[in-house]
Amino acid sequence: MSGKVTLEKLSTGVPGLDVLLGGGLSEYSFTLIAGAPGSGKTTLAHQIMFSLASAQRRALFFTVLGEPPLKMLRYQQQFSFFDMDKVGPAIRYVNLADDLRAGDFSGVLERIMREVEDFGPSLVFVDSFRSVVQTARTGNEGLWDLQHFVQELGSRMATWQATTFLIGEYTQADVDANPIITVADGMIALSHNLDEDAVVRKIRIIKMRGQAHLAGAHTLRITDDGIRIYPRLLSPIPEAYRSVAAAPERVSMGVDGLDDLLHGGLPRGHTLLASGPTGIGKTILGTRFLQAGVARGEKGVAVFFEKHTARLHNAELVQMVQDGQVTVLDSLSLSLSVEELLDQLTDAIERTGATRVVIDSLSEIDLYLAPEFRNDLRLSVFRTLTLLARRGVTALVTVGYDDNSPNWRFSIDNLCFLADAVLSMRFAEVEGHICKFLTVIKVRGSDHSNELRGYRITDKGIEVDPERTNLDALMSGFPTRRGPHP
Amino acid sequence: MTPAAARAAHAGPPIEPWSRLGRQLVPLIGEGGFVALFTRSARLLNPPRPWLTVDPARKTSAQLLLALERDLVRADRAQAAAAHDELMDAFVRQLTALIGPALTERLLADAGAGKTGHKNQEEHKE
Repeated sequence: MSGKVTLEKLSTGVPGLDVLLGGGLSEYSFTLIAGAPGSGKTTLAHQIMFSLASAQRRALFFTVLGEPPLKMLRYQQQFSFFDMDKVGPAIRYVNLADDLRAGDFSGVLERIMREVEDFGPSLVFVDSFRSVVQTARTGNEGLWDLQHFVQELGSRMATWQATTFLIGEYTQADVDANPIITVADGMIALSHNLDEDAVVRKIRIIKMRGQAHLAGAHTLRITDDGIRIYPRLLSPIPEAYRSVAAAPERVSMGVDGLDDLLHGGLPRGHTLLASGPTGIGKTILGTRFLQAGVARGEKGVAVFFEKHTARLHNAELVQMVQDGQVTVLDSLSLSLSVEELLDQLTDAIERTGATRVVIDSLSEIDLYLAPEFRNDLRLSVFRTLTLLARRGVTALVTVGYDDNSPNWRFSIDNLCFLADAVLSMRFAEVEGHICKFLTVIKVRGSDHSNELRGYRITDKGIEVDPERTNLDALMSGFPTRRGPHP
Repeated sequence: MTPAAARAAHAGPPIEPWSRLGRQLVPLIGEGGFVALFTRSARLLNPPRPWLTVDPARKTSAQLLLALERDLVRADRAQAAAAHDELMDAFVRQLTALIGPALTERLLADAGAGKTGHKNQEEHKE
């Protein structure tokens, strides 16, 4: 036994926050929650408070000169975590505005202590602490007294064995300059960054004494359920997928000739990137892929980044949606974060039990993404495909590009390296006709055909020639016929 | 005549419910919040009761309730009782409009005041 004190960790109840904190919040710690107005400080504090507070672990929430208490209660109760039954027996609100107006920090401190001794809380919140600081700067007792106040508060709350939070409207510049910050055991900074009219909320753990926290800025969202944080981590691989099957199950793509080229279909759980120029049949392939799943009783999810009306003309897709076999996700937001997309995907997959996903297409996704995610499209796609892989779903992802024949490319932004399999679809001019050809470029961990086959889009869908093309040098742009004209 | 003597002679409605309300709410919403709600409620009385004095100089719940008691004992007993009840209803209605019936009821439960939150909220919406 080492004899060292054990720092008990409190689970905050904020999805993702415990991961950032290194397992939770240290009991009896003194944490500053800082950020600009509207960044979500009070909501974060409330979510933590309502998660942790109980009849045995009571919470005192002091309001100072920030958001008026009535308004705070009016808006905070809209969140699902706001449990009305806890207000009173487990959570008590106290307003300190009148005490602070008197300009006497020692009076404020004594009032806080009186309330603490009366209610016996294990959790203490002071919101907004910035008000206290501003009062000090305008005169009354000066910064030294304020520091003394903060130190006294921290010391008394620790002795009282209360986990304490100060909530304040601080910017990074304030934090760097303000020695009061050194008193805090931990500091959580919230921000909302405006970039090309899109706002992305971020959270940083600036410090957290006694525990290894996750550094860096992480995206957060505020929904009806409160704050949800997305640590910049990939989710672990489920145990079920750790073992490598000797002969993976094959999934039909819904196009016979393509299944032939894949030697029986795409290995289940793989992501196939279908790339090609506009009009080459990528969306039709997506529909066929979903239909093949539906025929086997599998549910599908389709994510569309084309203009919204396009999919309404796809009668087969509309039928599958109306029958409840396929769920369509399309965003109305033009400031989409990858996290929102992943949330929607996860929710749809879990809700429907879908085993097939189509994303159509990655070449339009940047029209929807907020600049931060658009500027690093490869990372955004990597995170999306990783999620799909770890969910064990089989996915068809399309990407379009300008066909700059005879240059042969497989995707934009090197996205082809992120997929398990790549299908190249392209046009070629043959004897006065623009013809379509496809070939499988790669399938990870699996053999596949290297034939180049012609195909046509008909009322039946995609009809792939049963044999390889008899044209040579198709991809060079100067084909020559190898045998007799078919 | 002191308020106590006037009350003894006139037997106006007791303001103890208001005192309990103040003790329950002032720690939560501050003196300023309580005074603002009370003043607004007094102005919403219909018909208006000009004898219920509203003075912006009153900044604390204690000052307000002292004046309220003084006004009530000076008024006709029936009028005072009606005004008192309507004022309480208006106050609860304002609070309910701001924080909803459930939280209002929970906050007022300890004060033993205002059980009319739901009804008043519905009336307020109409």
